[in-house]
Amino acid sequence: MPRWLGQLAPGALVIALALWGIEQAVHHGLVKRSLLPAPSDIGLVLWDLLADGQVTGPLSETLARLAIGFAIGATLGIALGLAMGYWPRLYRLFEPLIELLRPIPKAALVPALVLFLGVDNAMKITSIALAVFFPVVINTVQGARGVDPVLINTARTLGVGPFSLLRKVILPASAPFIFAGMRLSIALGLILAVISEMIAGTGGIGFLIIDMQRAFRVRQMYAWIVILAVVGYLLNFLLLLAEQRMLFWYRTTQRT
Amino acid sequence: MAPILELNQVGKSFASAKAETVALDGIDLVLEDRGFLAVVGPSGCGKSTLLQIAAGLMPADRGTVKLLGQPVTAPPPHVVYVFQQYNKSLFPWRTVLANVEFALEGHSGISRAERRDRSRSLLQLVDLQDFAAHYPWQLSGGMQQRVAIARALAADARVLLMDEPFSALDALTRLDLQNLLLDLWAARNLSILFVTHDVDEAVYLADWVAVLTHRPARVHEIINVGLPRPRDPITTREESRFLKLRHALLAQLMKRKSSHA
Repeated sequence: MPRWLGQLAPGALVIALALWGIEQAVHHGLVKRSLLPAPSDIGLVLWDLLADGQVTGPLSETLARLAIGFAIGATLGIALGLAMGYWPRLYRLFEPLIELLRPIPKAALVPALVLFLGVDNAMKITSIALAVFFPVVINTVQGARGVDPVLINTARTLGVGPFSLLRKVILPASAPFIFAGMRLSIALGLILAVISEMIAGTGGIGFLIIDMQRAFRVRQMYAWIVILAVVGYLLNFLLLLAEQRMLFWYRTTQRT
Repeated sequence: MAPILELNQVGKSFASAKAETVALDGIDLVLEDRGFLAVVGPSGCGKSTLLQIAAGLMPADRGTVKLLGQPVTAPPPHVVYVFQQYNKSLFPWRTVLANVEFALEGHSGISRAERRDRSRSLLQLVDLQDFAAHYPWQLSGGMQQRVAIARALAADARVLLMDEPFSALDALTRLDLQNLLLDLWAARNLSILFVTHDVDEAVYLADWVAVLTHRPARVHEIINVGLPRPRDPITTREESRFLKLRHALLAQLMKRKSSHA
């Protein structure tokens, strides 16, 4: 048995056991089929969704909004975070405001955003960007403020101006923190993508989940939830992969 | 020879919650063009602070720093600071070659290919041509400091400000790098201000050795080394003048230390 299989096997066994347990509970009438269908039934619906391509439309709609919202939120977060980390004045200016706005669950802002931006993409992308922005800006500030002064002074003595310094020294040196923020953010962004579709949607996975629930098509509802789980897992996995590729230098240097 | 870097009555204080500590008090130093001036003093006397002020990395509270007669207020071109902590001073996400190239990237007049060529030839100069594609953390300490020196040369340094650059290295590597530095100094017409707590190193390398007092640091005296060049890592250290200077400087530093211990 290869090593990776040995490492994955116990976790996979627990998942299989849980599914089997639910399956049995449903078959023996412990749980109402109308509330929680058997995993095998959900699996069949899932198979249909995947097989006839029904999944692509809603999935790409949700992912496109998430991608745009994430790009906007992360870019702004990194830019402001680097600037705040480098210029103490900017830090003192914006830090209290950020700390005040940060604890608000961004989902609570969706109804307000509907007032301003309507129910279309502008509102949904904005709420995703907002959710993404805060963890990224906070982590970037932390990373940028923690850059070793020796590294910064090295760049200065080699004649580097403030903007090159931010881009070529402080940005890469803060990258480990930025990635940590982005991995938090991608999960929050997905939540906001789904919630904004539930509140004001005509399409996308969030809309379908709530639509299926209202239509009592419970198996479909669960199938879409499973798809969301896979999406969330894959997004995190992709970010981790990017992180490992870009931060190859980080773990090795941390040892010293 | 003409002065290239002049420190005139430089003072620096640090404010803490309780009181103000005077770190540097009325420091006068002159680095001559193509000169080699070492600064020795007890540890914690403010040598690094002095060097950072000379580099334009930190403002002085009193006095002036002049480079070729012009006041220094920001890090000037052609003056490069070399840190003791080479492992923190190299960019870990860049290869050795890219670290050297960093110093050339600000100049728009240099093409990519030329930047690469120049950096490669500088790596050859410090004997690291085979390690261009390595990352700094894959190299030994001595090799890392060579990269930092090559990078300083890439920035077209005329003045090197060196802050105990070899003190974290093992003894043999240190001798090696001392000679490399002397060769580069002579070959490239550098002027070097070299801070160290190692009296042996100061006498071996420099034309002049300035001795600082403990806090607040003042220039206690400036000694003319007067040993012939080129210097030899073994025989120069056996000359009677070397031993005499080493004796006098050590005695002075140890006396100062014990009176403050």
